Amino acid sequence: MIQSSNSIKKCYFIYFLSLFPLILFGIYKNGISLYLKDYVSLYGAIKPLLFIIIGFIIGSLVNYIYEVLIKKKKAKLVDIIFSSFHSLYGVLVACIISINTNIILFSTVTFIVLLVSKFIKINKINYIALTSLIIFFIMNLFNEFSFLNNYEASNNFNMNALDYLLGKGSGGIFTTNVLLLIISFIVLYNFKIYKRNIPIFATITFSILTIIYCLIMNDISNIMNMLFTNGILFSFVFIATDSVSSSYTKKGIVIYGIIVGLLTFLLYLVQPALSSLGAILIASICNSFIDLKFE
Amino acid sequence: MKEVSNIENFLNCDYIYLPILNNSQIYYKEGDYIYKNEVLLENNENKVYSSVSGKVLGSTTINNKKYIVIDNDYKDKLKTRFGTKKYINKYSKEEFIELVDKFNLIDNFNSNSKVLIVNGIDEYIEELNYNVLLKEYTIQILDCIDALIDIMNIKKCFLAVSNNDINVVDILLNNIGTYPKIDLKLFSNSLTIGNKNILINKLTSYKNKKYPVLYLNIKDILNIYNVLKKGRKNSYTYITLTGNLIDYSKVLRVKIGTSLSDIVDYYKINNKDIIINGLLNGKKLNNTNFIIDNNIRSIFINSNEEIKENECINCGLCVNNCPVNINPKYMYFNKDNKALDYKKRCVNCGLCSYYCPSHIKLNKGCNNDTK
Repeated sequence: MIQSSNSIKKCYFIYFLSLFPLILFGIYKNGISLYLKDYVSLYGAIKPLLFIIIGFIIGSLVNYIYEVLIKKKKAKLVDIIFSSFHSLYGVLVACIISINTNIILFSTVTFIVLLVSKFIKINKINYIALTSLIIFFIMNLFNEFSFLNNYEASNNFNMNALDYLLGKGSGGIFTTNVLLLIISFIVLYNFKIYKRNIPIFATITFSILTIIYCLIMNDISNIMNMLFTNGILFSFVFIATDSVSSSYTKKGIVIYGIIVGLLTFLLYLVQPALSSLGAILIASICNSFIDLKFE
Repeated sequence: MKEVSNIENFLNCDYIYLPILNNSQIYYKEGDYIYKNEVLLENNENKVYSSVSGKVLGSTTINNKKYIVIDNDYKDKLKTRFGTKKYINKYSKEEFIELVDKFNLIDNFNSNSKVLIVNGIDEYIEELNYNVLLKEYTIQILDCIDALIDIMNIKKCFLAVSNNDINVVDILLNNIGTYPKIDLKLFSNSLTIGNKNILINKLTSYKNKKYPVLYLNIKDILNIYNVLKKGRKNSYTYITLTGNLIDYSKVLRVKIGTSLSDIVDYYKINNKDIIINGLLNGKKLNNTNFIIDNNIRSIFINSNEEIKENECINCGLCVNNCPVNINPKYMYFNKDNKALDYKKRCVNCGLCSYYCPSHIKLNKGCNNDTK
């Protein structure tokens, strides 16, 4: 039988290709540049890269444990690693969390959540958002959670639109550069499996509500800050579009995007740093219902 | 695509296997001599004609189906000769309806049809049957369509042809001027345009939809031509022999009831994947105990390849690419009324399985499964 060239392996390739510039920038911003300014040690310089590698290894390990040790499947290691999106989930969790996250905490939570997710067969939720939120909550228990790295925490900045575009805003380790994020979105846009309407409608909804809110509150200068920080756009482009946990019907995808945008705005008013992840998690719980109602 | 030159005959099989229909009246007994085109048995819906002349050896069971076995004497003896008609459009509508009934010429025949759609596009993109037949029998096909328009008083007639073979298009364009009632429709290469339901949907505009449609393919047309001209059905069918282990694709003229194992032995094909009726929605055979009938369009001989299914990733490609706008994922994973409705509407084109990145055979649950 014949198959199109679409495959999970191809998804990985496209996603990693689109993430690559953001990862390079994140390594520079949250590692190398801090090291050069003497804010962190050598370990701090490679910490962003470590998060990515560990995230990938944990995802792959979960796939290996489930497929080989539990399901006793015999296949090539590459086929096992790429049998589901779990390795990508590990990488995306590494992208969205704060640079201040403890690596052991990240590894443990990611491993447990991803492994448990393997056994849940119905009503899949967004495990990237869930893992990141658990990490944030645990961090919050011990000290106050912050996206700011050592350099950002010890300085005050007055930023303009260009600064945000070039990644000077705060957010997850690899999420701050809006310009590179737009390039990533363009790369993903033409990829058939990518649900492009989710980030488009989520961004439009969130932007409109943000602008209206800022106009009402007479705080126009805050628009950029609301839109471009806290990894919101990154979440729309990479996390909300997680194939498994989002809607898949034509209308469902549009509705899903609008719900994500709307919930992000509402949660932003309560807790800006976690708004997009919380919104995606809630929307993903409803994805089957959305598909059923808006086919 | 590998080029095909012309039709290759594969008519030299020793034994012919013809299906024994349920609740049928049988007109033979073991040891009887059977003439070519003689009715062997019939039930309310169908008749079985012998495709060769020879002795009835008895019956056998192949893949849980019962077959009559006939020892081919290679003489193709006919019991009665009809004589050739000079003009095939001289039949009246009543005479034609009688012939359709007598020879079981057309499935779901509606004598009030006012729109005729002739499909000259093979159902799967690598099948070459209709292309080759259009090249080989251009005049006969056009004559027959023209005659059908006259006999059936057809208001609108479409001949759908793929534009990927310039030779076929050229031949048709050179001849179509003589047949002004035939509307030649050229379609670009697509994976599913040869599918009956999809083609009918494409060609029947709002205006035509109120008329019942008579759908025929090129093989049907040649069959009708033979009946109108010579008073007998074709005793053979056409199949494409292709695949990645075949150097040159062939269109074979094969006696109906030929065993696939005869073809496989003749072409020395061993230990390979054999898929019938295309790679999109076809059927992979476990062995060569398979009998060629009129529904078989192609045999693909491919290298052994195992594609593993993964879990559904909810990507929606099946929904986005479905030509009849159903939800193949829902149809595959559910058993409620909605899923049943989808199963009824599914045309089993196989596009959903083709696009699925997890390699799930989503069209498996379709009611219109490949026979």
